[in-house]
Amino acid sequence: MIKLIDRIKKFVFGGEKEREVIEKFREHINLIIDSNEALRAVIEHGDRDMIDEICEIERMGDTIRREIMLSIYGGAFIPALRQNLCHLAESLDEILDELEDVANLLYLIERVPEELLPDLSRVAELNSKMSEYLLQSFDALEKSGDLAGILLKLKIAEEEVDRIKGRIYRKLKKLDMGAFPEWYFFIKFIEKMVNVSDLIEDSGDIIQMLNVSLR
Amino acid sequence: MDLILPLLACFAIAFAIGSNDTSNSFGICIGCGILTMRRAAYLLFFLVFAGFLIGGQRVIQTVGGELTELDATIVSVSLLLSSLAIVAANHLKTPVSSHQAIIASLVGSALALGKEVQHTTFVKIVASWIVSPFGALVIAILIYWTMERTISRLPAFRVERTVNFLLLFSGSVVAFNTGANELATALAPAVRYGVVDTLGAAIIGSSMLFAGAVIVSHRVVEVVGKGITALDPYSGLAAQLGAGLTVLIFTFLGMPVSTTYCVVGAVSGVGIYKGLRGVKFSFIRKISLSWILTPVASFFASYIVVALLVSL
Repeated sequence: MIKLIDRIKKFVFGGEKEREVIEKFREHINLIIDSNEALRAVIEHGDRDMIDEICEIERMGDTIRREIMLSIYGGAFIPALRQNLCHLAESLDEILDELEDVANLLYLIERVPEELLPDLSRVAELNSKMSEYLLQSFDALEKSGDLAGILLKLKIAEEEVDRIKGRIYRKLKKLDMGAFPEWYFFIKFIEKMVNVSDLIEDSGDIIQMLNVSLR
Repeated sequence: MDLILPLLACFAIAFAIGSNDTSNSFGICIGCGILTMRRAAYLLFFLVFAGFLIGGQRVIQTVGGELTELDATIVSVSLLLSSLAIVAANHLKTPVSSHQAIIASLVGSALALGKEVQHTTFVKIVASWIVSPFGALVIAILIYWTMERTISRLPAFRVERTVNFLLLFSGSVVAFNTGANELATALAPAVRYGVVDTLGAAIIGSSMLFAGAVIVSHRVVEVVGKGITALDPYSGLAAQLGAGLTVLIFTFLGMPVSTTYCVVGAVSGVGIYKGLRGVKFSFIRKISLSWILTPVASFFASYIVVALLVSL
């Protein structure tokens, strides 16, 4: 009898697929938080062992993205939401890809100039905070929360990263990085570090679109 | 022999209603992936059966008992012609009211045989046809307005769950109405004339309707929804619930009304509320024309057929 009631409940209310997808998204965003924390450890403490962990996190993120896509195309959520949800999964994956690239570039760079360490630490810290805000904004899709307020914090953090980027480039003009490859990899490293905040902001925009798309 | 033709006519009309009207109930749910076609068909069967048995008695009394005196010719001709009209409209992808076809055919057949038609009952029925789409329009607007102030304020995923549940609920209301009003209207002459008892009518009607829904799937609701205004799940919910509740009200009043035209009214209501630009008035004009032509054509077709049969 209990089994029958459960079957009727599932038949009428469904929701299991959707709950699984929501949990996968949370897992995905938590991986972004972990990856950002690991990157911070590399920059602030020179813990180069964390570089491998960032690459491993990226692979885990790929698996989760595939699972999310399969679930969505398998029938989770109404069609009006599916495209944006797939878009969000891809956007989150881009963040992890970018963090992996940053980690690999750090591996190639011989040294990070002391003059730039505080700014780069601050960017890593802001990226970490932004990924926490991203998780909060996703939670606001399910539980009541001030989504507008959280997205505003994301925007403010991203703007600060942009200002720091400008400062870093001005300082870079006065530095001698040595050989061209070292210069090239370092410039790329800074571009990608800063780009992480742009990608997190983009993901926040998709969450905002999800929020309004059903109303 | 006297009862075989009316019985076959019952099969035909129930099948025709299945092919024409059933997508009104779960079309949106299937389109949104809430239900598979198979689950929708089974749910439809049970709800139509329950609707006919629980809610159909007043409509059966009005159509089969109060409108005109019945005989085998009236029952057979009206049901057979109506089923042909519905299938033809199905083929032409035009939303048509099975109620109008059946009532007009009954009246046409009765007049051709010189039988009396109860004018009061007939006027009440026609008044219901006119009032019900506008009633659905108003109720749909009220529902959408309420949703904007309640459901819309929930977090997005909760809105999605709530909309899912309400789509299923409103689809179930419409499916129940299909049994209580559509099928009851169609089989009222047969039940009152004694071709089949109420339980038998419920079983035959639900089974044939199920067959019609499964074999000849017809997207009236998608045609209606896309033809009048762009429908998202939110708007679709308001329209479907508005139409469903309107038909339910008229069912309890014993009035046979068209779910199809109530859906038209409700969809138009949502479109008008969201902004007149989104409403394709050319499509509404086409449906309005069908609203007038269906009963007129059914009346004359049945009158001519019965008159010819009498003269043979």
